[in-house]
Amino acid sequence: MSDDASRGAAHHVRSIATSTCDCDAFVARLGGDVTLAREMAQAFVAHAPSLLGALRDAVAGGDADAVLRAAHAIKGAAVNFDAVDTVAVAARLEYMAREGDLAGAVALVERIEAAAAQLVAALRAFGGSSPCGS
Amino acid sequence: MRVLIADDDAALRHGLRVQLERWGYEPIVCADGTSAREVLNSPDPPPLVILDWSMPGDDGVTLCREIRSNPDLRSLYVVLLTAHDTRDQMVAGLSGGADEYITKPFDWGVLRARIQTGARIAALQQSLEQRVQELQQALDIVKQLSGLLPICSYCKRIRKDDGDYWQQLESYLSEHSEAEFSHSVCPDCFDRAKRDLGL
Repeated sequence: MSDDASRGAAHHVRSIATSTCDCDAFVARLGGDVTLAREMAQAFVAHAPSLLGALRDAVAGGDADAVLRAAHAIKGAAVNFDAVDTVAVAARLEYMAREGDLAGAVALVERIEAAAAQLVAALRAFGGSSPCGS
Repeated sequence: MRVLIADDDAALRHGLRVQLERWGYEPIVCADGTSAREVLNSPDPPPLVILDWSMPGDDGVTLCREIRSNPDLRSLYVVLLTAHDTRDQMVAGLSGGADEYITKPFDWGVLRARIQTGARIAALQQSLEQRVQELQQALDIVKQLSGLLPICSYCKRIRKDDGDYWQQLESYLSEHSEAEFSHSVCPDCFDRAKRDLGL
């Protein structure tokens, strides 16, 4: 799809900005390129299980540095989609890991997994051309 | 212009690859710091580098410091693209040697403009380095020909520094400069040359 056609398609996207994600804002930052936005959403969906797996392994191993890196990776990947919920919990775990405090990390991982599951579902719908967040 | 991208975020890597190609660059994409270092240590590293801060292997700031401490790499233009968004982190990234610090999420139009700036500076830097190299070569030749040369007043040979050996002037100049000689006989010498040769 050409740039013009791709940007034209942006007018057909009617997404709902939620705390799960805001695909409108994401597409707007991409200059209206819906095609590329969908490809990136699909890439995130494919990559999310390994991100979450690395976080679970890091917490299970009690390795604060590994938790820090894994939580930051999730935050960094989710922030592109304005995924407020996922970013907020991941940032909190990242902060705790930086302080060397992993008490409560397991509960936070569960919250990250829940937020990420909603994000993945929203991006899967968006990547499959359905409106984001619906 | 070739551009190194190193980021462990698969979605962002895809977006950067597609966009950079559209914008006329040649992206070299790495998913971790270790493979990025291999690209940087290759014989002809790309002049523009976009690094994530946190990624497996060597992190972006470590790579940045290495780039600045390596004479062969220090002129590269480095963009840190990161979710580390506090003031202290930004100061640390720029102090580590990054030319540009961009936090996620970012606007791709702004990124494009900043990469254009980086590409312009990287091209100028390359051009400057090439010119300095040419000037250094010229200066080396000038230095070779400077100083007091002992020359024979009669045959015009030059005595070499490394012993009692006298060298033809043209041979000496050819050896110490890029000058080349073609031999002929000037009008003033022509009659004498005829006499010497019995013509």
